[in-house]
Amino acid sequence: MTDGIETTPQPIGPGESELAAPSRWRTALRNPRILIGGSIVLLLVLVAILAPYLAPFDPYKIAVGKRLIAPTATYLFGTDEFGRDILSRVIYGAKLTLYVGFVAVGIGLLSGVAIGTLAGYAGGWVQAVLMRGIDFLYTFPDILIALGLVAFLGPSLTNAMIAVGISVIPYYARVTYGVVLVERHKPYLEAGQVIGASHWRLITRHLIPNIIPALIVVSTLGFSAAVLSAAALSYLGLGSQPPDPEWGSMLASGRNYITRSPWILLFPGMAIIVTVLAFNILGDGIRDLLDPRQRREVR
Amino acid sequence: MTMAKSYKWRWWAAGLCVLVGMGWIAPAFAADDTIIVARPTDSDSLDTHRVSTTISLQVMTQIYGNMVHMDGDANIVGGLAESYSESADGKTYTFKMRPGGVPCHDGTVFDAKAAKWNFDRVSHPDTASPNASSYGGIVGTQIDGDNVIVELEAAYSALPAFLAGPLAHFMCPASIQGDDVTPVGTGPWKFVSWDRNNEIVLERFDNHVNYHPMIDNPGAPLMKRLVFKTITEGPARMAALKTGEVHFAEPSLQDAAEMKSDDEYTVYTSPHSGQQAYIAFAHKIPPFDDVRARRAVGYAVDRNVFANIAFEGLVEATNCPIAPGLLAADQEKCKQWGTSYDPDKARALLAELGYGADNPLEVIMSVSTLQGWDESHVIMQQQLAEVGIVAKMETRQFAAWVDHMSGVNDQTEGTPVVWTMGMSGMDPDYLVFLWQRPGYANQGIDDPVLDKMLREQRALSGDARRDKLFEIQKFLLENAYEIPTWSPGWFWLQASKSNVKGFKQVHMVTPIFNDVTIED
Amino acid sequence: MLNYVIRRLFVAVVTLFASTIAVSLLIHVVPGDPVMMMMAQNAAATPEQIEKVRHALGLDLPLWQQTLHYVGNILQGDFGRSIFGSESVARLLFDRLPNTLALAFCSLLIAVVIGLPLGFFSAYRQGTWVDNVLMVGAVLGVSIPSFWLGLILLLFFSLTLELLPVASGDYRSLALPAITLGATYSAIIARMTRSAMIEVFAEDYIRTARAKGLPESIVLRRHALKPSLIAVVTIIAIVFGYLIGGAVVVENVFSWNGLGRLALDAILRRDYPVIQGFILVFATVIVIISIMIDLAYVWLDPRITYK
Repeated sequence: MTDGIETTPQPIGPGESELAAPSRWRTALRNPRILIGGSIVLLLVLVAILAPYLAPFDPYKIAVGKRLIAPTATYLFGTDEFGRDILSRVIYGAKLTLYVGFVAVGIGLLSGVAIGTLAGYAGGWVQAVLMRGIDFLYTFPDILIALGLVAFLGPSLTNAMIAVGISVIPYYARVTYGVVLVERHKPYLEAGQVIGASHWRLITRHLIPNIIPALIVVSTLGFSAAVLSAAALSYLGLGSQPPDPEWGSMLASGRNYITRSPWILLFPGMAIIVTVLAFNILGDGIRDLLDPRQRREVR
Repeated sequence: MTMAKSYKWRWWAAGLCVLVGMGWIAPAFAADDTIIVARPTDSDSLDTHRVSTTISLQVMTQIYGNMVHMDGDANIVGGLAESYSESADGKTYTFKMRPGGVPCHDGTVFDAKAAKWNFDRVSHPDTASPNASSYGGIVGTQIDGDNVIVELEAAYSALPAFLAGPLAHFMCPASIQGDDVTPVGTGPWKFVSWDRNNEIVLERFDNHVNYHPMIDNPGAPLMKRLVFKTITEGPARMAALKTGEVHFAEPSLQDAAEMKSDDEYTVYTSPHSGQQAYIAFAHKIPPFDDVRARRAVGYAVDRNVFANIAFEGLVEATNCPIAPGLLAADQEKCKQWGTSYDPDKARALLAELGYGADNPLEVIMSVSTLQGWDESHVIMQQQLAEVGIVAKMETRQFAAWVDHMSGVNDQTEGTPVVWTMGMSGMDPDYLVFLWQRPGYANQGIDDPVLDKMLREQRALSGDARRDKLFEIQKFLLENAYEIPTWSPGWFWLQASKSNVKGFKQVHMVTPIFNDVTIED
Repeated sequence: MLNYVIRRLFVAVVTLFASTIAVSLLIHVVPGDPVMMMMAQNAAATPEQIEKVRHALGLDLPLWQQTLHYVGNILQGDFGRSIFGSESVARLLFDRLPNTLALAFCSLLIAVVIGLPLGFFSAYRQGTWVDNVLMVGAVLGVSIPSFWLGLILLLFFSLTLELLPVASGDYRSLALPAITLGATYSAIIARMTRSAMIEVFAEDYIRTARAKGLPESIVLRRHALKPSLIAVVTIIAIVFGYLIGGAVVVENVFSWNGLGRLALDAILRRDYPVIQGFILVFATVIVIISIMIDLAYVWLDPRITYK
């Protein structure tokens, strides 16, 4: 269900951050993964923003006479069980999906970074308690945590976002913790402590900026995981509610019609795949760029 | 790692995987003497005194018996009891049990004592039976030879009809041992095992004697085993039917519509469903405490679209709180009292209440998920939007929905809530179950006029009762406490391959497998 | 070594104990009342009856007493009873555990058999077109929602070809869910294996071996095999843990009667005793796996010792 486990915390140092900015951009764009993944993501964002202009039809308009039309020139993706244009719904769905991803990653990232930094920086029993808890939660598949949370919060897209966001906190906390551990013993922090800088200042001014590259990578990859989890929740009827054109719920409501009208299943599914794929490729690309170990060539 | 080596490894692994699969999982039953029925959800319980959901009743019918039965023309005939009589004041019923009793699965017999045990347990407050109100307030039971005498607090003419239905299955007392339920009944099938959320296995009861007038087979079922299997997903259920893994499955509505014209399959509907679906309100939360707001919703919805589009024409649009086929379900009369599709009237009523294009009425549509209903809810949402009601949907699983609504229906403030539900019965008396305080999921209306009428109809019979039921429906419809929508609507469809013969559904979508055979 | 195992077990027991307490506390803090849920079907339930049921279930006791009771019962092997249907939770769980293990094991086999060689090969040929093609495939694999893949397979193999059963409960109906999960996780394993192997190949001793001019097959067998096995064991263990609890959605699509489906159902009905039992069983399995991994490390790499 999730790609999260695949990127088990690998402390990624600030490594190449010394590079001058323009040349970094050029290096980034020379990486085909960043280029391809980034372009698709950009495209998705544009589609989401411009949905009202791009969608050929009203995505909510029920047209009884036009039910379950196979893809044609007019209805490129066909129509659903209510005669609604699937292409228009997929286009509008992009906005919901990106929104879900951003909020969920935002919640996971902010809380995770806070916990991870605190644990890594404070050490001692604070670290022991926090990381024991995080490690325990981490053993649970995030979809299960999200499911449990949303069952208690009640079914809605907002609650699904919150649930997914909370379910990935352990992941971000562990990544942050790993990086902070590496950074903590570096001379710049020890020097800071010697000259008597406050903890707050050390963390915000020095520690956080140095762990940002690693966080960019994990959030990009985590975005895919969040989108998949949210789609699964909606598929189970616990996420987005009708008539919202969320892709997972489009699959759920169309599944009884798949024998004769498989396009109902096909296009929202493809939309999820393309989105998740784009963020995965982009994330891989950024990691290539930032993690020197992965770039080493084997001879 | 050479290629050859890794290649061999794969074969070993694949073989191992198959072996593991075969070893861990119990093999499927030999299909030739077993009927397998696929359904979307599992029963809640097999304690007849404690559940009322259709999905539970459909299994309990196979295991247990009824005191009396109802034929196709609503006449009451003998069941576990040979006959019954009613006292002149309608407050005492005497059931004459069959001489020697009826055999239970465990070798004991179902006699007057067993019947008394059922009446006593179901009406005892500790049992907290959801069906208690339908027994009419039992104040005492006695045994007199082969007779069981039941005394009620008030006259109740519909008791026999209720006792003939699946809500009133009677268990052999051995079923209940403390907290444990081990179903023992007199029905055609014996309980064997229940793997929750997976399958309930039943076996033919060889000593079964049939008293149900709608079942042809006088004795034990023709097949040996009956298995109810839970297959949640519609496509998976259809796949199981097509591959022959199961013999019966609830089809998706689209599949049902298609299979009807396919020689390879038989689709069964349920002519005596007694089911009625409706829209209702958390009627204490403004603005739905005002009849105009409730009627506005009634005018906004087009029930024909639900029936013909959402349900693929497999159900009928209806106007009465009482289900078609039951006493006093006069669609023409109800149509006059209730609301029909008229969006302009809806807008006018909303305008009176101060709602309009710039001040839309925002409501929550609280629903539970079921096929046909899901589709209807989306259409309903759209129809409400057209008159300026913005409905936010909240979907829950049925048990969770009932829990949620029990709270919401008691509230007097908050976001207004529109909800949908369905109810079925052998007799219109189910209106008491729904609308007399507290009512199912606290939906009951605390109105002395309604309460009085609901009580009065119980004492009446024949035309007088019918007229009282008209009055009650008129009250519910004019006040728009409920907006009837369609009938039937849940678990009423079955499909099988056409080599499966002899299946039928009797009252309240009760499936009967006694006569089923499977040809090669 | 023995000391280590004992200490590890001790920590495991403490972890499980703490998690039991945490879970039973957490579940009581969230909104939604199991007794109301039980009684909701019941129009006639009076407040006294509700109180009675609450008392019977011990839900009227102070939280700390409830927790203590629960932990005490667990120690006696009593996981409580399901709120719905009142079956023993232990039976519910252990009836399904074999199904879940069978599905997890078979999916894992499929995933390992496909994912491991591909990941290994991809790392070995890092940077070549083979690597690129394989990794594009793998990233595609991790991007496909498993329920969607499941539905597509169902549509194709069962509904269209009428070939594979979905619910017969025997080994044939294991095929589709195992393939669905296997496909997703083979992609994950391929990606993990590649990352791990790239690190192994970059180790100094491998470079040295190559520099010495040893034949490639010897370099791989003598120097790369063992460290890569360690990585592989870790990967397999992680994936196995995920397969045990994370197959909820796929189990649901194919009506596979595993723990995940039980958990989903319990969560939807707020059947607390079942949820608690599930978490405990799951956590136990995870703890056992992690101890086994640690032991496997020692066995595979003599340099690793635990004190």
